Amino acid sequence: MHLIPWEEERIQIFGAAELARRHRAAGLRLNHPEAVALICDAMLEAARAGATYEEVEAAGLAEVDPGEVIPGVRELLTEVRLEVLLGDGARLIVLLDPLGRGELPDPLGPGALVLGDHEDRAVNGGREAIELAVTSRSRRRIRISSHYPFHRVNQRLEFDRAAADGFRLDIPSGAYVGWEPGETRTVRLVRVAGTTGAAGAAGRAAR
Amino acid sequence: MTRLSAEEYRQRYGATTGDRIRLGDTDLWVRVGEDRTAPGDEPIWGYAKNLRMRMTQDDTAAGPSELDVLIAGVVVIDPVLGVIKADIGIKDGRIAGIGRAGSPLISDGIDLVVGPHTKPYMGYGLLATPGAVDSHVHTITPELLAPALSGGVTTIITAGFEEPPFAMERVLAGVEDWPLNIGLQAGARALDEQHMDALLAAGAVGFKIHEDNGAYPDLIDHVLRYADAHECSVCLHTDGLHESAELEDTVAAIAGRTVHAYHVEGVGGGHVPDLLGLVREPSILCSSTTPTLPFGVSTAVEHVPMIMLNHGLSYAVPDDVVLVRERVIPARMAAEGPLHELGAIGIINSDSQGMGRIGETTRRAMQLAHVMKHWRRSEASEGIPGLPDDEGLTDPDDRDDTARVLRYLAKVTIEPSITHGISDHVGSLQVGRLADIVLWRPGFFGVKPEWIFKGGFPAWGALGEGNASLERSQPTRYRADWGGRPQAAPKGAVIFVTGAADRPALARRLGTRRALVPVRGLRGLTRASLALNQATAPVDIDVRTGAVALGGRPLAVAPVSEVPLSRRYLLR
Repeated sequence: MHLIPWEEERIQIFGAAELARRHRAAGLRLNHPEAVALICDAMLEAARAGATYEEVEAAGLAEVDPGEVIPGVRELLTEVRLEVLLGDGARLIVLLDPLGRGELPDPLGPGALVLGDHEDRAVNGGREAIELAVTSRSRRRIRISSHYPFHRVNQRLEFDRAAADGFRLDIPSGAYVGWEPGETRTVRLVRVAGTTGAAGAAGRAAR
Repeated sequence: MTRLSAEEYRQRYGATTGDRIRLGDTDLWVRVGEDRTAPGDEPIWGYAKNLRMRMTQDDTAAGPSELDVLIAGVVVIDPVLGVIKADIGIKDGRIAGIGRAGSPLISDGIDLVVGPHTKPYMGYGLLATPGAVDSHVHTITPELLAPALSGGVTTIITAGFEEPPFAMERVLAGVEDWPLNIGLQAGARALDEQHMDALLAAGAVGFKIHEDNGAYPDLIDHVLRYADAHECSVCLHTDGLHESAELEDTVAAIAGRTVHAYHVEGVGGGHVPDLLGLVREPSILCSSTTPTLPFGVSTAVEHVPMIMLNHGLSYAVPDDVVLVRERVIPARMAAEGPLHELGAIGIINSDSQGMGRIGETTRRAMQLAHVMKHWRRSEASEGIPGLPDDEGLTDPDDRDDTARVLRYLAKVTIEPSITHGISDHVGSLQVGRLADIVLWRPGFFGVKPEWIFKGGFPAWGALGEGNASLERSQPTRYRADWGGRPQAAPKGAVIFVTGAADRPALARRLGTRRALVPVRGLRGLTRASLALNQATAPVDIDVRTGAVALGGRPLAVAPVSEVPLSRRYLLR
């Protein structure tokens, strides 16, 4: 057979899924690994039978009914990542919340996070802020992320660069703002903190 | 200033101060007490993210100030530090700080500098605990190593039967390429000091006194005297036959000196039926082993075959069966959980392969915490003196078990570390400790970790198939990550020895690439030396039945028929 590791891994899924099928047939509710194994096995079988990418996804989503699992398993089963073998070769399938069926999860289920307060959270508070009109002269879409030193952004964005020295976008960390070709947007910038911010307009050293 | 809804904030960065997290499917909730991350400047790696040159990376950082490894945005659950949202900084394999990571050029309050040579891992949404310290492991077969790591154990202290030096060398060689710290306790099997000198020279961290090798009062006295002179540990499994000593004689032989008493409930071995009387003695640091915790409806019955087959007995010899049945006493099994709740038993360890399950050390501790939360809300706990505060009782939703979780987590982390003189290195995530870190998804806390960092590098985890286009594709299975591979593992793991060992000579003889680290500060300890389990309990024990009372009230929890962190998670 010359089984490569990838094929042996398929057999592990098969073994787990077969056990899960036996448990399901006995009327037992499925646990987390059993539900994952069944979903993966269903997708692998659909792919083996020649299904398309979308058909494989659908087979995975249909395999386990939310009523067949132990309560709480749906909340644990947030994602399934699996590589199947389609007609055009190995392909990655990711199912998100595969037992969700559009219902909200139990807010107190396993691993639940209960917010201590529901107040909005201030980001970049207490920092010097300015607003600048910024126009894109690019033929392409441009996106600028939260911490890019704003005076250094793409030269095709037109604005008062000297005024932006030492500033960045006033948006959450990891967020970004986009400009369509020719678009003008007024953005709010905040002065960076740390030693650069403390040095104010003279603080060019680290940028 | 911009505003994010609370919900969107948590989606991006995970929990913050005041949020509560349910641990697995237990009824235990922790409350985040503090958030040390940089608001607005959270370091995040990825497409359009900011962990880059000129952003949250300090491009001028170099050398000592720069982290080797960053785990960003985790909720640390640590028995000493508490529950803190923070970035974990790692340098030279040890914890550089639990604080705020990023670039001091653009952010305020940065105590963990991310530089161009910092390897970042995103921990947002995950929980981090110190690797568990299993202080009662019999290295019967090496099969125990993979389940240990898969259960979050990163340090093992063995419990005798590893000796003599000839065998110790082979066990240490066999564990060399596994990402666990190890300290060997050797069986004290003779009064001759040359015997003990040879064991310390061979790398033993201390001695195990075990009735199957003799637990006589004069041996106890002798070993403790030797231990006080040589700063090494002593663990004790007492004389269950009462051949040489009863409880009072053992306590008299100990004479107020520090000793770690194993499986004090008693079914693991020792004075029948009143071994639990050891919880009265401040210098005796008490531990429990996994099979009796929490007390379940099948606990008693499984112990008959377990003892028979573990201790060289025979079903063909009727007296052997009688001997074992005398040792299985449900009344004292029922008292063990309450004594943990009181903090009079401070440590949980596995007794791996010598009547215990190494993969369940942390799991059983959390299951017990769950069961004891319910015991505190039952009539059975009423009127018991000395029970610690239970903040959940004053929470309108009964969703704050932070102190309880830390107390029970301590039983598998900091308490055994203190007891064995290794708390400068393991047992908490305080600055300077080995970066032995277990990362958990909250829903799987206590049962299936996501990733284990050993000595600051990923060493074990639920890794996916190797051909896949991205990590963690099914089937995910626990196995070695880079830091757990041969040659890499010994860079992040140590062998604990005593100060009495000639470390350079021992290292040469073993041919180890590990650091040999001396234990220290473990003599003269009392219950008060522990972090969160400091109680002594003046229990009364009925020497006919083994029933335990405290303050005139029976000390007992009913056996449970269902535990959390179990069937919902485990394929079997």
